[in-house]
Amino acid sequence: MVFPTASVPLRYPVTALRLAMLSMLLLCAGAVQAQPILSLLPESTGCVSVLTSQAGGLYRACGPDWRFRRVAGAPDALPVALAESHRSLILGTRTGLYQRSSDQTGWQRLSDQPTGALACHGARCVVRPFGQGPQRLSDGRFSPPQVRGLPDQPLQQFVIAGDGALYGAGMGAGVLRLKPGSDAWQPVGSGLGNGNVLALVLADDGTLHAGTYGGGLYRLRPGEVRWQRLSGLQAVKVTALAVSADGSRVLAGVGDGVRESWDGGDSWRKVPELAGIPVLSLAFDGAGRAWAGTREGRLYRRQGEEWVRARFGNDLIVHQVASVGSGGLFVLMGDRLYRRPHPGADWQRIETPFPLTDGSVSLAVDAVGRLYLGSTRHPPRRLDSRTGEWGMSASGWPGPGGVRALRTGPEGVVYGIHADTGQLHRLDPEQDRWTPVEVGGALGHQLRNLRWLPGGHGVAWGPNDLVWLRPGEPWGHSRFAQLERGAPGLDADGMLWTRRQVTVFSLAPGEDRWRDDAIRHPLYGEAVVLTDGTELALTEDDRLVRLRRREDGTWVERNAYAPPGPPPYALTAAGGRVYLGTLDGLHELDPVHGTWRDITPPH
Amino acid sequence: MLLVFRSLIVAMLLALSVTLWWYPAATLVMVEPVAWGQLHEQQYAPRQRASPFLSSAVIEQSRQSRPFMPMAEFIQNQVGGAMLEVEAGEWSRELTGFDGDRTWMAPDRVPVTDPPRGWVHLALRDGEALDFYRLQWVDPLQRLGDIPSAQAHPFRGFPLLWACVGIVLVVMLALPVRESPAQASNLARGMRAGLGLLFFFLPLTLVSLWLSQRSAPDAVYALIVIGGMLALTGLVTALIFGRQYAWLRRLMAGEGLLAHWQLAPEQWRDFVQRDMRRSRGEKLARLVMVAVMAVVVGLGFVLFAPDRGAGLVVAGVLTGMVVLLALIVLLMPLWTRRRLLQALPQVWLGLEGVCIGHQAHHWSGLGSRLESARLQRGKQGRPARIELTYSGLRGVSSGRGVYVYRDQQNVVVPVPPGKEAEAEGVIARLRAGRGK
Repeated sequence: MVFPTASVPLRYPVTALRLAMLSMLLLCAGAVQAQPILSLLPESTGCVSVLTSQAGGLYRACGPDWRFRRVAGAPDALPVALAESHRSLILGTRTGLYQRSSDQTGWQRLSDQPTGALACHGARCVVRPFGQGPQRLSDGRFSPPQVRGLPDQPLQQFVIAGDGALYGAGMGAGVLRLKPGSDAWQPVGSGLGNGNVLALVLADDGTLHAGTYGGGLYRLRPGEVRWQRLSGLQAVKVTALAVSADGSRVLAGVGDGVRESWDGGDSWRKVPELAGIPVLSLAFDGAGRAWAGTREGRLYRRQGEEWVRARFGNDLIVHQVASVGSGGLFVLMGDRLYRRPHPGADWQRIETPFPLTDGSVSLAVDAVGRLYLGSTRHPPRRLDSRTGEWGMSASGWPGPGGVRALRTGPEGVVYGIHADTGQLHRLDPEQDRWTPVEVGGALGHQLRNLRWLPGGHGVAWGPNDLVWLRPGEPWGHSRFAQLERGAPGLDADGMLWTRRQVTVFSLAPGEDRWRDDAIRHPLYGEAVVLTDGTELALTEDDRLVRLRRREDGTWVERNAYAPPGPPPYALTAAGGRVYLGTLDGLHELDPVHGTWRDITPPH
Repeated sequence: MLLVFRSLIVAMLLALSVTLWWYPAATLVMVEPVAWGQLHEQQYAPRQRASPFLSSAVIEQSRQSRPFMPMAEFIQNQVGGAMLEVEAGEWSRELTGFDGDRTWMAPDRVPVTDPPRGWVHLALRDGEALDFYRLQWVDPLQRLGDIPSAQAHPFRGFPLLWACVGIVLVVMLALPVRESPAQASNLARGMRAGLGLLFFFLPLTLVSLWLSQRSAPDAVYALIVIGGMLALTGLVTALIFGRQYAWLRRLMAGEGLLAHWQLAPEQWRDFVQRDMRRSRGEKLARLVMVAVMAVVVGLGFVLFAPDRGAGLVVAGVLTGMVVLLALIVLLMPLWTRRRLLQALPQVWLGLEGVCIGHQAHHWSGLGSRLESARLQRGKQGRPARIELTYSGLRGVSSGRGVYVYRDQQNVVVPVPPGKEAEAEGVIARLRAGRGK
């Protein structure tokens, strides 16, 4: 195609059109936030793996605490399907098929074809790449079976029977079987009144269950030739299906909830705890526990007689952690707030004055250990530690209006950015009053975030403004157009750095004019001071380093610690202890051995 | 009058026929079967075809950044949460034999009463089975190329109507009408052609204007412009020729008539033959001039154009134009001769113009004038003839404006033997009239 470069007059419109299309594609690509749980895989080890639609969204937990963690090193590709073969996980993604090595240390790419469907049984696997027919996978090698009878509609569900027979099903394709040694797919049974099969499950006793779109649930017992419609299930859209090993218990996701049967599908009852919740994946683990994953990325587990929500995904993200001088901790995790009065004590859940899902929430602790909590919709509140009651934080906060970022600065002074005006405020500890911070005489700057860097440097920034504080100096201000990439940092020479789109600016110590410069690595971001005078700082490339300041004002790295989980990170230190919140929990650093201890608050 | 009336009726009937033949249905429902499995597959399978605007790598990168959705979620996402489920019943019979990509139905034939703006996703239940369709209410004007013509143009389905129209047209055209010499003249024909043009394109333009209130395709707007211009052209033509036709009628009635001669058949045939040669000779001279210019310009393009291919195209177009002009130069005199031979061998000569058989020349219109008139006595026993030259203003449009020039026409008027003296007097009158 030569059109885009055929003539000069066309070049500019075509380029503009290209850019517009690219922008639209990028916008569309960036707009997706939901993390539906695509698949629940009870492993032969007794653990359960959970696959979400997010890139790298593979989680795993084992009993008895069922503490889900993101599987480290999982391919950073959008997942599609998950299976287990010979105690090894096989992950199908939009950009290829991966197998976890037997020592579970890394992933091997088996194929670069986008995976459409995947199923394994023992050493036998079947993979269907998008746009192609099913292929056998054995010992990492593919062998496309030369078979006839594939339907026009693609097969999207596969199960492999113990005898090697392969069952396939799909929307509009019905259920077909490829017997071992046969070269033709053949329809399974008769009487399947609806060929729009969304879910196919094979019980250990050979009973097939087919959940359809619009026709309900069908069952075909071994030896029978005709599908039986399970009319006791008062739902016609079965989007997910699970059958216990003995075939007696059946779970069916019906779009707006789950139905369960204890007699092999003859009679059904609604699961009240999951009423109205769209469930995408269901499973029974090896111990017969039932699991359900939802469109909203929530995970449920049947515990005794009732279904309970298992902590998973967003529930485990530590948004912020703040320490009290006495060693106490406050943790904002998921949509809950926890407190630990002192190291080793039990976690307590703190009731909050507003739901923590109402706006972007932040917290800070002042010099005397009082907790401040606010959100972009709610002004800062202060917790009375004696009564446990929440009150207004202090006078002087311009109302109405929430707070965008609460941070504890040097000497325990609390700072906050007004959510509406973008103005930086400081809580004066002597007057117990919020006062606007005078920033270089500039007014009307819209700030969004605030961070404390090594050496007591403070930076706050917004889309077009950057303000900074050097120890012993007043706040400075610079206006940058389109400061989208924000998050300024400090380098080992004490220079401040920030990015404006593709250009980089630096501010040398003692100067007040930013220079267009080339970036220098590493850049240190959020930092905390340790009792020995050193500082721990997070780097741009997600390391945690201990810094010692030289006499000339520069820094030198002494130790580096690999964070125990994926970002985003929340860092604090108290009484010589360092705490780091990650995507899936809270961890305490053992500075001697450089190891981490999981201290995530229990559910 | 009957001839004019016939022209108007035929033009309007033709316009009505064209309108009805083409007139699109008000609304149709496009019904497409939905194969969700294949749609889901297309969403995630790598694309084979590249876009002309984005490189395939960029597209693939974007597609790979689209999270996977299970089938039920995909359907939910595609239908926007709403899928109408209806019992197959009567409607399923409407789809019997539907094996193409889509079918079109009248709105009252589909089981949805409230037409939406966009798509309606329909699940057609037949017992336990569900078939999926998507429906879209479409103005057929937008999709004329896609819709079977019988559905897009509902009036085509009435053979009786078309038979009636055909009969009326044949009757109207075959109706024997006795033409007077004035009605048979080129001026009357020009006036009738102008009226026909006006009454054919004016209704079409009005219908197009009315259709443009719907979401009409570009062709409708083009028809408004072109039809409007042609209707206007017809009006102007009818007015010009109508005025001249009125003059001719007055002339033939004796008003301003200087001479009225009846020619012998032999002299008439001889005159017609000579006039054809003369006319052809004049036209050939112009053709040669145009051909020489075309050759020079064409060769220039072939030899000097930076793009040799484009130069050859220009030369080819010029050659074609010369060939077309040559055909016209050769055939037009033959056509004129044929018409003149069918006409009454009479000459009406007046101060404002002359009519020789069916062929009238009028020189007192806007910008026209008689340039010269002289009597040419016949040699070797041939009859005398009057040679007239008149001119009219012509305009040529170029990129910079309109150039007006004077175009001269030579007319030879046969003089019957023995009428030379009368002819002398006529010339004197003409010259006197020209001098006024």
